[in-house]
Amino acid sequence: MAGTTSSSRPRPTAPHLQVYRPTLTMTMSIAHRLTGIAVYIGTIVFVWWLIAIAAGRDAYESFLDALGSIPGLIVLFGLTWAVLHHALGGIRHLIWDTGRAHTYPWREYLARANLIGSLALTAILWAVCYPR
Amino acid sequence: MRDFRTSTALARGLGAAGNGTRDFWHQRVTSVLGVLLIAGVLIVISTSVGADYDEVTNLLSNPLAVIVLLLALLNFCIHMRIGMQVVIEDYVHGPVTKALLLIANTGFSAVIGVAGAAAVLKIAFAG
Repeated sequence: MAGTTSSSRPRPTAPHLQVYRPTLTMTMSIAHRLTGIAVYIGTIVFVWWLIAIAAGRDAYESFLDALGSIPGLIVLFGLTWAVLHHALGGIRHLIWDTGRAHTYPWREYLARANLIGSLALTAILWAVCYPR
Repeated sequence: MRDFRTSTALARGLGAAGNGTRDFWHQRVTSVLGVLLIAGVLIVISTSVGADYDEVTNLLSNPLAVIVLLLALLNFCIHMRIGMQVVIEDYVHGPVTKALLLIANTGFSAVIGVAGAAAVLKIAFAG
């Protein structure tokens, strides 16, 4: 049995990301995980928003001041893109779950649609919402 | 009623953690519902931009907004917990560190869900 050998040689490991030439589908796969992690942390901003409103006028004003600052706006813009990219990436995964679009050229179309779609939706949402 | 299945039949397909494909399936369910709910949440947030405090509390007292926000908080609390658990299990291999991070993950997800829901309910029912 493998676990009972007395050899001190390290166990063989599978090659990881660094040995592969980057491709769009691979990048979008990594982006799906990273945006998922970003949105996980970003839920703090969402709940902070709700708590600030629940806490009253002053707390809400402080929240708006913080998010309206330059770093705040950058975080909010990045979070908008991350949410949309992860949502569209999720739809892509759901399409794959039905057994479709795993092969060329559809997998490439989906990867592009994911990136272009998330950037376009972010731009549209900010263009509609930002300058009131 | 007595269960006539053998213990092997009861355990078959459930794997080492005893949960079978439960997390996999819950992640699919919460992603389908999540696509709809995130659209609702983004509409609520977008509507609040530029509104003053009274308008925002008024918006968040709308029953439809309350329902969307509460469902979204429940949905994403489940989805983010499973998602982060996969990430932790992929990269953290020390048994104690892994267990502590998995507990912290469950705690964080629960706090986000409950704190958000408490805020939504307070705005809706207590102004």
